[in-house]
Amino acid sequence: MRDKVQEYFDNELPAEERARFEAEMTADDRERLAALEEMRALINGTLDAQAGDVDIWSGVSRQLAKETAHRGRRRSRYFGGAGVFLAAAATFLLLVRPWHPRHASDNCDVENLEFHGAWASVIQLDDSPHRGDGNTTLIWTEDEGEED
Amino acid sequence: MRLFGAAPLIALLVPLVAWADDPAPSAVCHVRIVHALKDGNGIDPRITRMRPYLERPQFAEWHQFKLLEDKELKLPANGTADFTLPNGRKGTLTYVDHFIADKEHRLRIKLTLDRPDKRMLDTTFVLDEDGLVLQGGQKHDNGRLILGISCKTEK
Repeated sequence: MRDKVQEYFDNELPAEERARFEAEMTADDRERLAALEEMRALINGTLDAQAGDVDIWSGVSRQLAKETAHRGRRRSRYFGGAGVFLAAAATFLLLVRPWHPRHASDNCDVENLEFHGAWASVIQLDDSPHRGDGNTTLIWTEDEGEED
Repeated sequence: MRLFGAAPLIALLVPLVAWADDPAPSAVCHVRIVHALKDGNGIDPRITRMRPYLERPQFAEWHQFKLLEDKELKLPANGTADFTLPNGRKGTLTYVDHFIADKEHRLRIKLTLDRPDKRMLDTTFVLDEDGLVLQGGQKHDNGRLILGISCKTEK
């Protein structure tokens, strides 16, 4: 059963429950959230860096071959099955990255913009460094006499 | 006899007419209000969806981001919902329409921001279902406000 902190982190709580959780959030919860965020960034960074030039399957299959050589035939068949399952799970995790919820790209088209102030600008923000978040659009407005 | 000949055609057309009369689905929009500050450091852990964008160079000028509010607005088709910003200004979202383009569900949303004396911003945008659009720049309490607006239709 998933706990509240994890559900909050994955943005899965309904708004009311989310607000209640935020109001009751303990220092411990905050620390866990920060740790989860850090871990996600770390895993994403590592996988992004590795995905380009590392052939995970050959590494896994090499490891499986070693295991097979070291164990009896009957046992190796059992572990071989588990290894294939692990390899499939690793591939699934690499491709799907369920800890990093995919967001729809906004594909935003600003059709109309009327602004009464100093200036306004429409800026496209790309999704790096977290791939999968999708691009988004920023409408920046600056009131008269508001610049810092 | 002629009437019977037209029956298959009528049978085909009736569902089409019924489909055309189907009301557009209602939508739920989230307006996340973030306070960007030059002082301090870090991104509020409650900011999840907007976080990757706040880490972009465009926001490098600000070093601390706090989530002030996360408002949920329910909008019937063609409906509007108001919200108040921490700087006292009024925001309004209007759910203009919903359509499907290239198999993607798209929502047309109008956002207005009003100062007490005048309308500051009036913009209409189309975005993918649950897509996120950001609006920023309003001054508030030694910082700036950044709004993250996302909408999706209710199933």
